[in-house]
Amino acid sequence: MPFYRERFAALGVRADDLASLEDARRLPFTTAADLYATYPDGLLAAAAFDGEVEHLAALRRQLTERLKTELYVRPKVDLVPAGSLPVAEGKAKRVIDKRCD
Amino acid sequence: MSSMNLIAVFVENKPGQTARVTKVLADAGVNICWVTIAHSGSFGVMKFLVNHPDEAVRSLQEKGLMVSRLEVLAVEVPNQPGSLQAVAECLAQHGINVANCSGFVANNRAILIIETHELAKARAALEEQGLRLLTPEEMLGL
Repeated sequence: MPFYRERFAALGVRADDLASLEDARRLPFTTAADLYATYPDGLLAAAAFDGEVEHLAALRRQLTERLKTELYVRPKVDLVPAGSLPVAEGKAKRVIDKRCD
Repeated sequence: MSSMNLIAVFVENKPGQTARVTKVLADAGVNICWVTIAHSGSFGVMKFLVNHPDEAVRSLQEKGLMVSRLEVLAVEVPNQPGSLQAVAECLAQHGINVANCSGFVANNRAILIIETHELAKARAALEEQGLRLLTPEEMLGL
């Protein structure tokens, strides 16, 4: 990821340096400013799209499984282009969890 | 050396998406020499061979589209029965899997475009077979 590659280089931290928990103290925190600076997808790993339609299908299956592990229901996952979701839709929907323990 | 890059674009599988992507290329003055679309349910990938790949990638990314480059082989084969079979046989003998393949005839020259995960191995095998791999320049000049 270019953002952290540059940040680590600036701090002089290399992957080989990280051997113990003590070494992890040298790593920078991700701050709100970082998130603003890289909005919307600068902190996403770039490997998501490599032009292979079967890799995208695999990504969708993985997302479905990961969400299912969290939600205990199987969600319908669709891959859509960045920025193509209407803003209002996300805001208008409220999910109320009425399940009993 | 004689390898060429396709441009792959992520698109939703719904009306208007091909028009949207090709409009970006048209506006950027990029010429499309070859195109294919593959889909898997609600989304798909369009692949292009263009005359100005850098310009194409830049203009597509500027419009917020997800783009990646993909190296492929373009093989010229005799325009006669059995040519594809000979290529397939050669790849099979070397244990190379073909991920995607497309073929066409232009000016009586038969061209195969082959996508494989073992590109270097496939190139060596085909050249050993005496087949000629086209450079991007040759491909654009067909």
